Amino acid sequence: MAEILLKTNDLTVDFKIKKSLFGKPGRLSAVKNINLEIKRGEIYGLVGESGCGKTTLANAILGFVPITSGSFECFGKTIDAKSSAADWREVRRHMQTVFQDPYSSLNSRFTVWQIISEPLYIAGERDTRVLRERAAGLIEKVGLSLQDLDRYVFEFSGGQRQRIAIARALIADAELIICDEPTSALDVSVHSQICNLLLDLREEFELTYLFISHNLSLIKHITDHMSVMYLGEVMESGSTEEIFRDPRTPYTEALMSAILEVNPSTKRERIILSGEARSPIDPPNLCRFANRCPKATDRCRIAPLPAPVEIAPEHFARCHLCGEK
Amino acid sequence: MNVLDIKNLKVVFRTEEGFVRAVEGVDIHVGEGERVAIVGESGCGKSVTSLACMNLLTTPPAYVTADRFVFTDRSGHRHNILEKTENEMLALRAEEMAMIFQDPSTFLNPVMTIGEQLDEVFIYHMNMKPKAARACSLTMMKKVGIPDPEMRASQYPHELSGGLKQRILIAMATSLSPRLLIADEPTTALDVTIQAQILQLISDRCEKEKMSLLMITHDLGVVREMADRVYVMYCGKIVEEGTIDEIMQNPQHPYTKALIDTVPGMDEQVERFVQIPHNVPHPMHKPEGCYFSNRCAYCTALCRQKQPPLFDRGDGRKIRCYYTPEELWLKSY
Repeated sequence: MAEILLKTNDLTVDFKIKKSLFGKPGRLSAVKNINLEIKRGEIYGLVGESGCGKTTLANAILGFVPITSGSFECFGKTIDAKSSAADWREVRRHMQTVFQDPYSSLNSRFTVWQIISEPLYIAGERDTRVLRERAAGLIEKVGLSLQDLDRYVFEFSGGQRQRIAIARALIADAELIICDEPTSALDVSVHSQICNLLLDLREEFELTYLFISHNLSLIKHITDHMSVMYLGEVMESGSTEEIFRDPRTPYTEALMSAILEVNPSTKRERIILSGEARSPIDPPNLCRFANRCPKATDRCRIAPLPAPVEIAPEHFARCHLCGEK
Repeated sequence: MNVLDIKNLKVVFRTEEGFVRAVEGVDIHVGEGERVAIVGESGCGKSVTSLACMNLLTTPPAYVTADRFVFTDRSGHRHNILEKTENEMLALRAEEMAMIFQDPSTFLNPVMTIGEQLDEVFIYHMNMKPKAARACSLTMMKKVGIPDPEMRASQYPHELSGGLKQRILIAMATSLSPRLLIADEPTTALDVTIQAQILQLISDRCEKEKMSLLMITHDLGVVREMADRVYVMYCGKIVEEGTIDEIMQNPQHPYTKALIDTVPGMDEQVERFVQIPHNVPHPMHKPEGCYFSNRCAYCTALCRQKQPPLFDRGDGRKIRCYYTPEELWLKSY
């Protein structure tokens, strides 16, 4: 059994929002009671539609948004809402992120080597020669050349920019890389280049990825374990193979049937969900998917969402209907 | 009979750095009731082609030329789009041809209610009184599956989700049952479950109103779902043309083949993804010879020298490559 690198315990993130000028602030429940375990060396996938909280969850782990309640454990520390800056610094040293849009995540006034070496600078390295050398040592690993070190980002295409962002994530010897939709802003023909690069780097640097995507086909081929999120809650989690082979919650089923394949080997029945996700503001304590669920019963509309049930080894689902499939 | 018949369409943009040839001699035709797709990556000229069809490109900076650019309306009247004045185009748009765009929020007026914007279609094109127009709008909103249309009609665009806004655009575009519907990446900005709804809706509307569809997308999965016939574009040129089944199951151009291979099937097991090397060339610095030559695994000296013509195989299949798949296959050994 591999070592657990990151474990969240009921991690919850709420945002306070003003509905009207003098009104009582509402509570937007972005991420609710998330429990996930990421093992060292694996690729863990987070899937869901926009607004389901996958990015907020990543941001909470990275410390970009404050945690409301719950905690997460990693690298021997437990981080919760009250953790000190020193604790955060200790944990964050081991984590880096690759953002979705390489056009906005790279500083256009920095040269490439400055961008790549910035995490080291922040970690306390001030010797310009060392910074540049370290950047030079990495740049060829991500498929760019040494001449690129002194250029500016506007000279690069989207795929190349994402390579720079990946080099930046690697330079400070991070062990956990959080990839937030790393390919969705790129052209179709460069998707595979970036995915292959990430796979190669994982081998070479023994990395662990938390891979966020709305692209199920990508998640299927790249991840070992995964969670399916809907409106801030994990509906189903487990090994990727198992979930794709036997999806148990109606939401996962619908999501999978919505995949449009280029050359489908079997004609699958398509489930088209009606309606849209309900508002995450002050949600009632019910199954958040019940209003769109094609299989919802009266119980789904009145009873709180049950705790996750282990329906098969390493396969958890949260649904009233589980087991009655 | 073809609803849309374009021959040798060229679009050039004048920019500060020089002329950019966005579309370089494209032949496209859309038959009656046919569903045609143009597939390609960003910058390949697919959107520019669709805008040219609606005569929405302004000169300058865009310069549009074509040997033939004919749109045939319901009464069989043939219009040369390039010779139309803006006023004549206004009459054609919405009534005979309509368009749905990628990002619905930028195409709705933020300071008008949804109802007012839908009413306009009926008021301007059908000379209806506002009350009658509103009644038509509400029926249209019901037809595109918007729950509680009365309430939605009084709301502003920012109060609607992306999926609902796209439905409103579809309602607007199809309300006068145009002959040709152009959909430019209609689902790219939407979630997968909403994408499924919207594609279904576009399909249904086309079938019911007997519209022809010209779909612009980069997503091969969407194409598979929606189109009868496909044009694959790369760097402003069509590289392959054929029916959907032929193209997807038996792609002949190395670019089409690579594009399909990069998306592994759900039942396949892959260790690594098939990748196309390098990047799409900059529109000002396209390679000499075949535009795909710098990324093609089978590239030869001939490919680098001379742009291959679009070979017509005679069975509706056209390929812009010097080599047949058999020859390419032999080369890979």
